[in-house]
Amino acid sequence: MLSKDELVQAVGDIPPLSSSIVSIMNMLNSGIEIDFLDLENKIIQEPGLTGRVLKLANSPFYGMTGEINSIKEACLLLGLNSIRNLVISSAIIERFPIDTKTNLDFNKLWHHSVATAASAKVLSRYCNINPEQSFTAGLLHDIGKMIFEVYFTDQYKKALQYQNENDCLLFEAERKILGTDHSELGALTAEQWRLPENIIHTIRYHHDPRKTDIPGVEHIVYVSNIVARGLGIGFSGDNLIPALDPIVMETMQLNIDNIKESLGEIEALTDGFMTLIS
Amino acid sequence: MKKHSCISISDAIDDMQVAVDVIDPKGVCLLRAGAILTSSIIKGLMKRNIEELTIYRHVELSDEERNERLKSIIDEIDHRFSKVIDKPLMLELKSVLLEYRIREV
Repeated sequence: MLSKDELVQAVGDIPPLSSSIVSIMNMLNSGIEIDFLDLENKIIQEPGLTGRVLKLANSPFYGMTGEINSIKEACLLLGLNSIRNLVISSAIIERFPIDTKTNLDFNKLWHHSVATAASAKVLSRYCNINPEQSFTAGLLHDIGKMIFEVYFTDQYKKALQYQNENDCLLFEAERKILGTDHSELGALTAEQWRLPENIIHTIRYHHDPRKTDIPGVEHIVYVSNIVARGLGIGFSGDNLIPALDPIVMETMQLNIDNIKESLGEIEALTDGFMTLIS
Repeated sequence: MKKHSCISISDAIDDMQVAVDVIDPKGVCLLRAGAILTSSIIKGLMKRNIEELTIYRHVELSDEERNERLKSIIDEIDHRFSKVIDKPLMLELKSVLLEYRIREV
């Protein structure tokens, strides 16, 4: 079992995001008018990040194909909100590469995360919620599992074993064996990394959306996580589906027909994004 | 079973499903991934100078392979929903997902 203090201390030992990433995020979150040349100079200090930002910026997800050749162009054409989401997504994907060797298959876990993100982007249109923020939050909702795997490998193996033996939801096994779950660990780490508030909330409440007052990105990702599991895309640690809360659906003004008409697009978006991060 | 395939717009026919968003040379999204092509959509895309499309191709299965695949899909979905079968909303979702998955085979 991990006590709250142990968890907080352990999170403190997790390597922070690189200083250049933090600097970029601070700049983008500052609310002060941005000098695009300055921003470009910060981003190009991280070659991996630069390459990934340009690759993502030139993908159909952002409506451009081969048009963007520089970070400055990306900033001007896509806007700062998109760049913020790109920087965050790229940084986390680089921290937990798809070919990381662990008990949980990271390729399949990313596949599930991408499917959740794609679902969040598509379903957010029905609810008037920012689709890009929904996508990014969906992409990162399960980073707690990656953090458990990489930084708490031995303890997490026990939780995975319990899940396998009892055929329960993984977060139930985590709570039973570790006294906490990936939502809390992921949220604590996201706080340490100073990710945006809506991402922290989504990570923390994506299994318990009624604990947060204001319907928004958290609720979309909660529904999308279930849709992605329903579609059987990737693997997030168990092969079960949590129940969808009808009150949350009603609050979001979402219904099963909305989900039904979105399935094709969700799968197609997922396939496309996976080719970008593979 | 579906796989991606990049085709010339001149080879596009009705009922093909696009696998990736269709973006025109100016960067405008003309058609979202997952959309089903019709002759008027294809003509419209040609007018907007679209030259290629990425579509889903269906791979033909034998009867035995199809039956096995169907059984596998049904078993998987049954298991996935096994802990929530007493909830009407989940039964509705299960039915939608089953119909979607079976349609692909």
